[in-house]
Amino acid sequence: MITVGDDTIAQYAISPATGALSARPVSTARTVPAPEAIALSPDGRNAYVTSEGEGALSQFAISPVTGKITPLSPATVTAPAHGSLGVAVTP
Amino acid sequence: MAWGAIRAAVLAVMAYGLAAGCTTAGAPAPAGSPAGAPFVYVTGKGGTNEISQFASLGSGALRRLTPENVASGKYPYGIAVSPQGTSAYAVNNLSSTAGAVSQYTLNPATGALGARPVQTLATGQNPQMIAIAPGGTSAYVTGSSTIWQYSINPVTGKLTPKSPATVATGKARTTSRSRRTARTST
Repeated sequence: MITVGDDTIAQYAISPATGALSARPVSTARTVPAPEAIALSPDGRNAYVTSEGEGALSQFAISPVTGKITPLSPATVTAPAHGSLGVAVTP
Repeated sequence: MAWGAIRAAVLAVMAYGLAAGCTTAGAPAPAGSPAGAPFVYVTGKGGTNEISQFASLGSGALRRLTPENVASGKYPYGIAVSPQGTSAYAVNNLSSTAGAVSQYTLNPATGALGARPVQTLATGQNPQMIAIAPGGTSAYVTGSSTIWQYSINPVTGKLTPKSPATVATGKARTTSRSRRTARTST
């Protein structure tokens, strides 16, 4: 499972047996300031995070093996100048 | 949960297989993404009233489409794409007393949204987010104390209010502070 908050994106492991999350994030990465929303690509290999405070999106790769989150190159892409709210990805 | 995870893994494999298959076929990627790669849409904040549209490259990195933006309704907020990938729906969080939901056509080959909504339906006060059922036949718009529910025409993608048109969410309320604190995606 992936969450955003505090300018950070975080990965948690899910126990296949119980569904319980790991007590702490397994990996984290820095996002754009004031992250607002997150969407994953349909193959689960990328995540996109909007910023309500800045004209950029964060983009990340997610390891299909470990789930580890790594910023893409470039780590951000320009978006509406006053910030952005929702994000959606095609199936 | 375990079944959900297995199902998600299977879907992920299928999606990757389709994208890889198209690449192997050697067809030159058209104007949008590499064949099979998804498109991404973002609602602009601050009353600029626009939706930005992006293609994803092989690594998943985004680049802006041409045109970069399409005009939206007033104060767009939540956005969702139909499972068929042929319509996008944005919530217009117009004001504390009125709002709407707009449907845009989506060209699955280029990723381009229609220049203007094909349909805009008034909701009520303060609509925020939207979700579409996996089968693509229902859409749900959430507000601070109301859910608006719609049927989706499978051919045109148009929304029609269900009966009843709204469901009360009760007193449990999502404040904007807690919305900003954490967003979750599985």
